Amino acid sequence: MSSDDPHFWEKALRARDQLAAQFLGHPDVSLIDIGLDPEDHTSAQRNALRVHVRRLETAKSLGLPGEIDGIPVRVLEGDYHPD
Amino acid sequence: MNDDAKTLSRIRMALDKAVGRYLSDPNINLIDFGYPECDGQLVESKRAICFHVSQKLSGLRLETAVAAGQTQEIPPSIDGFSTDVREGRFRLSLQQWPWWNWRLPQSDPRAARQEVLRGGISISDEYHNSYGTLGGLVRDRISGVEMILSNWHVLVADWNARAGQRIYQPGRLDGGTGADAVATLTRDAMPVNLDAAVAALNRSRRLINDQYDLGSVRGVAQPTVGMSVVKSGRRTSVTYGRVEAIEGAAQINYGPVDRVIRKVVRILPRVGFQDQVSEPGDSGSFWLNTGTRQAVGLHFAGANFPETAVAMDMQTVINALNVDLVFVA
Repeated sequence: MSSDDPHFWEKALRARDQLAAQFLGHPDVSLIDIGLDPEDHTSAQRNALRVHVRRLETAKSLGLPGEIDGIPVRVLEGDYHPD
Repeated sequence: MNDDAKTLSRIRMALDKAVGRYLSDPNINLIDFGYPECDGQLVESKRAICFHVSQKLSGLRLETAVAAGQTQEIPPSIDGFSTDVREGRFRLSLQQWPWWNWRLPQSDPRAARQEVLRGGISISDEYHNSYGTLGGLVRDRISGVEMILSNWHVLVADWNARAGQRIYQPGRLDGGTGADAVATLTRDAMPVNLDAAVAALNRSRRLINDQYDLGSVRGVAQPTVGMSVVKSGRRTSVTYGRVEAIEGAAQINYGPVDRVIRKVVRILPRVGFQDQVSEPGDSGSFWLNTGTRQAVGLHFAGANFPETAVAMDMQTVINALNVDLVFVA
């Protein structure tokens, strides 16, 4: 699904909430957001749902879906601390 | 013993946490990272966060001192690093003139006392030996009172804090004292999952709509993916970035508790640049659209691997706090 789709953000926010409810309580999950798809290296880089984990090696054990409502779900490594 | 960059980053973060939490303890003189001691000898096969105290207490004496509020018990580890406690007192090896107005020389004006307040300079609450960034000038939507906007963990900084605690400029870790109080804590937005707070100015010094080395804020706008942004912060001064993601929900550790922070905006270095976007001490900075200078985010967190700044959507923050940014249209 393209970000140009007028329903994209409505679906993306709903999907983000779904992922947050299911995974944000996991100790290895640090952030769930909607942004540039790290696996799309074209000039028209599309948006994706991204789940940030503190250690990449734990991602497989989470059981994340590959996509929700046609929006890809990607995993990124990130551990965020107050500045 | 050489550490890779990732380990060094973990060490720095653990030290920052230890300093923020314990250095204000009157019994603690220095917190650093090095070899622990055993029977008076350094153990060079190990490393630890080292607490240098005036008096090393244990057993009943420690319990009594803790109960009396004279000191705190130091945990056996912080963020995976062992702690070590030893006695150590230190004295200054330089003199200042005039002695009755002594203050550490500040080569960075952002760390110094500023007679006219603006965004991008050092502040802290009165209790914690730390500093963050004065974000900018806001006004209460009902009373019209002018306030400082920054983060919860800069202005409140403690789950037991109460409204009315004083805000210093510069922050305590930059030498701020009671004579430098500029505001009092008014309210915060942590109950609605935003690391943000406001403090009413006490009118001892004026706060203007200006971001240090950047100019004035010219409104509020929504961050969008791909937007070029810029901020002025106490630690890394003016830095540039690009919004890489929005509408995030983050799980962040605040000492004894983890909190979900919502409406998170993730900012990376600009494409093709080796930018540093933020460091500890930049918390509270305003992220502005580079072109329009409209405020799009309130900085509150970051990471070094990869280099990342994390902010909250500005419009959401000011709505939650019931304030408006003061800007020149």
